[in-house]
Amino acid sequence: MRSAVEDRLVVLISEISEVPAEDITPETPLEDLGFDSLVLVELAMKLRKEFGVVASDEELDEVETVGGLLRFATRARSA
Amino acid sequence: MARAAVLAGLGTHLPPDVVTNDMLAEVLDTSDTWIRTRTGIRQRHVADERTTTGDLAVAAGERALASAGLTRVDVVVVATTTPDRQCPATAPTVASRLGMSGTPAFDVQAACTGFVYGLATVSSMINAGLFETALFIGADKFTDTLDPDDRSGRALIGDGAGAVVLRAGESDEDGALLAFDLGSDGEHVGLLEVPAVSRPERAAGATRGYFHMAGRPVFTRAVAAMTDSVHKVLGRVGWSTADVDRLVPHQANARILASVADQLDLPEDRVVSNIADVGNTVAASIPLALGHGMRHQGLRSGHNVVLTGFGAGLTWGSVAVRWPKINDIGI
Repeated sequence: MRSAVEDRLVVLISEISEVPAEDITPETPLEDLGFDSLVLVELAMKLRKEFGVVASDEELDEVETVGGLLRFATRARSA
Repeated sequence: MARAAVLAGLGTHLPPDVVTNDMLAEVLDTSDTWIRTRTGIRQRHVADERTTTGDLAVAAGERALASAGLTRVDVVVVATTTPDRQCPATAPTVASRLGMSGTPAFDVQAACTGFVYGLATVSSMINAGLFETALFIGADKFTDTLDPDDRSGRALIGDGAGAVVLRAGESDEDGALLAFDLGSDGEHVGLLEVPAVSRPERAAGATRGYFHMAGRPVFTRAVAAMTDSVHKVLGRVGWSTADVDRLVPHQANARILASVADQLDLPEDRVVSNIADVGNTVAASIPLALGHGMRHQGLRSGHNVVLTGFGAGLTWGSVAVRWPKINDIGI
């Protein structure tokens, strides 16, 4: 069961990638969504705006899947 | 009413030579699509070998003076990161070439935030009663700092100059510079810099270090810093984001501008952008965007305008101004 925050993140990812939300799982590699190198930072900025969570450069470098991004959302929820 | 520095003229200049994305793709491993999707840039103006920052500054300065209907001012300030000489500043020669030998003149260096820092400097001097009029020019021939093999840098950067005339007036006049926010963070200097050339490197024939930038960390900091700075300056001037008729950001990258607009919940038609035509022109970026805004994006007198910048240093800053009725002279 995903939280509202996680659901919102999936919607944001779906909007940017134009991949239907139901096809996006935590295991989906960001590469498969057709992201270029800047989409990840654009998403990170949306997380900052909507949930007040700030990802470090190192954390962003390590994100390879949707699940990696969801961890930021989870952090925001528990903060 | 309080004394305030008031915008009284605007002039811009772009060197004539245009480099399109396709022209870059002929000599570098890049493409028009790659550049447009990542930066929003279609072309940039590049000054030829004989043209200096000072030449660009003089051309824009002449136009700003004409726009204000003046031939002389009390002080000439140039914001640049690519001065004609390492020493002295570029402003004294610019002042003399504009027929103002004897006038106080100096440079401000805050990279892409240079125009905002310089406006704060000039505004403060006018407010303090030191000067009644000022010519303030943002000019850079930043293409001089680029590695010929750097496809990102050459896609991003263009040359140009933009200038404003300021005069002493009242804070309730259109054109009054109403509030500022400035900041810096030297801890991240390495993200965005043109390193100095060491003595051994110079002995080995090197003449300059090349510009380099860490794209992703700069992107996040640029968006966060400009967004927070705009919020601060809005708080100081008592406007909400809904009161902002035009945001005129440093033209760093179209996607950075879109992200800033999203953070501020500003519709994109209120965000002035000319990056497609000129690229990132460093200290010239904001005044060139102002001219573009007046000609093509509905910027007019009475508008509540916020200028915001971010650049190497790291530095950032914003200024709030109610736009005056002025003539913009440029191309």
